[in-house]
Formats: sequence, structure tokens, C-alpha cells
Amino acid sequence: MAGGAVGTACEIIAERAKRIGAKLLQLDPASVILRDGRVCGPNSSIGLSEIAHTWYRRPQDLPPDVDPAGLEATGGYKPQRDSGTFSYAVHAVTVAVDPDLGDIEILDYVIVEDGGVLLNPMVVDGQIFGGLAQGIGTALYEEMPFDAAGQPLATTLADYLLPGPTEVPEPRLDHMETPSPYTMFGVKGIGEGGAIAPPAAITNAVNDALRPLGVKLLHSPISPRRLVESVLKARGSESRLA
Amino acid sequence: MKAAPFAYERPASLDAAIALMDEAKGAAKIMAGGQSLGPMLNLRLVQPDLIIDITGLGELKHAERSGDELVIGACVTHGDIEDGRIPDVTHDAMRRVAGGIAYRAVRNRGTIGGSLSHADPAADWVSALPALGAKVRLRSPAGHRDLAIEDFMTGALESALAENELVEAVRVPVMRASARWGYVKACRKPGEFAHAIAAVLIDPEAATGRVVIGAIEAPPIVLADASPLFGGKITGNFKREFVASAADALLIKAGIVNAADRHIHIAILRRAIDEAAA
Repeated sequence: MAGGAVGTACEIIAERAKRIGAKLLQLDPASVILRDGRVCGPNSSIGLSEIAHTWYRRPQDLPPDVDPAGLEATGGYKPQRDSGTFSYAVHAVTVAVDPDLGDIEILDYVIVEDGGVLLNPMVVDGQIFGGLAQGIGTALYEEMPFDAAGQPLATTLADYLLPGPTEVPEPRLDHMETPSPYTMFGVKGIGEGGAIAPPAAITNAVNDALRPLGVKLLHSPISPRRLVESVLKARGSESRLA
Repeated sequence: MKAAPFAYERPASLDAAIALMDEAKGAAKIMAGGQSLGPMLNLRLVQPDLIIDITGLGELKHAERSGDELVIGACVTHGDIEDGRIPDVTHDAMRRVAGGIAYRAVRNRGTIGGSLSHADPAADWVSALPALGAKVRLRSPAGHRDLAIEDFMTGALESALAENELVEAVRVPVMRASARWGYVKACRKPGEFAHAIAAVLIDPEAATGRVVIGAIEAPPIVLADASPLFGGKITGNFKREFVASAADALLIKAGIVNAADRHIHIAILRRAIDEAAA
């Protein structure tokens, strides 16, 4: 939605910039277009930075009938559907599990995301990488336990484990671009997607790895103790040793 | 959070440091690297009136061979040991332990004496050094006393140090050529405190073995004679003679009620034994 609002505001400013640019080029506003950051006439052009400089620093060069709202605008946007536009994604992960220590290592992680039209692909990738890190935290590390008296047991980052550079792999990332029919530019919301799938994908991979042992984990985070407890329970005898 | 106010002294000699401790009558904390004490001050888990910083004391930074021991000053850093800046009498065992402590920034500042004094069960030296048969030399106004490391640590974050006493040196015996070493720990993340540690020093030729099971939220379990874990005697076949149920019984006796925790400790011990046998 923010992209649509920004786009609407930009359209207002583009129109005013064209009018100022046309005046500076001594052309009819109807004969100029905005292209590549410049207001262009048939034989001449002027950059947005010069237009802005004129508006802010040399307004005396502009005729009295210039739009006094200048180069600042507030625009609004309401998408055709207010229930949100969703991106779609699939996460696939390969893990190695040590059933004796309860350790889990992520060997490979692949994400395919359909965020519609990517206005800024670098920012989209960053959202997905950051979401993956958060999701790995949910799956394997982050937990706020309480003791029987209700005292929180993870009150500092020494107790509350977060994934760091050694726990977050660089995922393989691929994009599909199916434009949304409901939004300006065909974009889809991309903000939280990366964080939602990892707990399910990782837990499914761990359960797949432990399938021969008859183990099925249903709680996150999958701590070493939880994993080993499940393995021992599946063996049916807690006394059988490593 | 930041530390509660405290006075700070940086004495010029060990004697001056001991005199300051004696005067403070328990209201002082020794800082010898500050890698645990610093965060504890900031979390206000400790609020001493006085910090006595001994990091700069050159007399505590030496390590030298004395007979069949290496005497390591309390302020030798983990990094000094990792990088081989002090002599080694343990066939690289101490270098490898040091290199696995937390991460490099901590190893640059953290000291062997500070780590022992802090007595965190999840730290490395409190488990590795008793397996090596090391002793700790304590210093107070009354003079020296030597304790086996396993007698030094009395509880989680508790040691035998009197309020006017500090760790002066660690005395590590020269490891026999026939001795085999294994040290393995389990950590949630690289550099994180361990939730299971096993240290194994086995000498099949001498039929002796020391085993330590650590990171158990209490002083580590130290077996100066590990033969009960290997069916009563230690032979060259010790890897196959390891009796997991004997280790399990020790862990139960130490109060570890969760079977999964015991399972992880035993798996780590088995890997340390495998490493020693390799």
C-alpha cells in the first residue's frame, strides 16, 4: 500500500515539476514530458535537480502563477482490495540432525517467492533474508520460558538465544513475478513472508530426518533437550544409552 | 543497564593487590580480564564497593616450567595459550581447549585465573584442568596454599577462595608421552557457553585415566581414577570398554534428573573418549 501512496504523491509532484520545467524551458506545459529524471521538450530538457534548485533557492525566476504548493505533496492510495495483497512463497530446507546431541545443522535452504512486481529487488531480497533469520530463531532458538512461580527465565540476550551469522545460511533465492491485479504497479506485500515459513519448513525437515526413529516434533524451538527427549520417548526406554 | 557505582584500583604489585583485598573485607572483586565480571557488573548481578584490577600485573603473566609442572600465572590469557605464547606441556591439549573458548575477542582479554575464580560450571577451564590433574595456587596475606582444581570449585559460581585470597597461578603437570587426550563440548551456537563438556586423559600404558563430566550446573564430576567407567581397569582397548551405564549412574548421583540431559552428557563423553582413542 505504501508504494501506491508514494506513487500517487509522485504523480502530483511530476505534474508540478513539468509546469516549472516548461516555464524554465520557455515551452508550453502540454509539450513537455517527464523522462529519466528530466523534463523534456522537443529540443531541450532540464533535470529535476535544477527544477528543485530553482523552486527552493531562486523562486524569483518563476512567474507569479506558479503553483505555491511547490514540490511537496501528500498523496493517498486505497487499493481495490483492502484485505491485503499476499505474496506466495515456498521454503525448502535440508538439515542434518544429530539424534544423540540434539544438534541441527541447516545444510541448504531454498526460497522461491512471488511478490508480484518487484519495485526494488534489493530491498525485497533483504526482507526475505531478514525474515529467514527471524524464522530460524523461532524454529530453533528463541524462547521465553517461565519458572513455576512465573519468573521469566530469559531476561537478557545471554539467556535468550538469537541466531547469528553462524546459524543463518545464505539461502538460494528465486523470484516469480506474477503481477497483482489489485494494486498499483502489480506489487504484493512482502514484509513478513520470510519469517513465517521457516519454523514449519525446518520442523518438517527435522521430522523427516528422524522418521526412521519414529520421532515427530511438534514444538518450537527445537532445543537439543526437546529433540533428545523425543528420541528417547520414541525408543520407549529412557534407560537405553547413547 | 550499567554497573552500580564502584571504586577502582589498579595496584602495581601482587602484594599491593592482596593488601587492598584484605582491607576491603569482602567488599572487593578482583578483575583479571573482566570477560565475565564486566557483564555481571552491568547486569548488577554483582555490586562490589571496589574493583581491584590485576590485569596489568606482569608478575601474573608469566608461565614457566618448574620441575615436572608448568606454572601458569593467573593473568595469562586464553589467547596467550591458544597462540603458543607460553610453553606447552600437554601435547597441545591446552592450546586446543583455549582455542575453543567463547570467541576471539573474549580470548584476547579473558584469563585462566579469572575463569577459574569465576567458577562458572559451563566454562572450559573448570572442566579441562581437573582432567589434566592441575592444581591451583592461591595467595593471601597468610601466604600460599595449593589445591587440586576439583577441590577449588565448591559450587556454581562458588570457589574455595577466602575473601582476602586470589588465584596466583595454575600448576599443570607435564603430560606423559603415552597419555591420550579428548575434549568435547556441546554448545547451542559457536562461542556460546557449553551445556555439556567431557574431558578425558587416559594413559593405557600406565593404566590410569582421569575423566571429567562438566557443564552440569554444579562443579564438574571429576574421576581421578576413571577405571570404573571402563569395567574396572584401563587398557589400550578403553574405547570399547566404556560402560555408559556407569557414567549414567554418576550423572544421576550428581542430581541430573532429566534423562535427555544425561543422554547428551554421555554422548559427549563417548565422543571425548573416541577422540582420545583416535
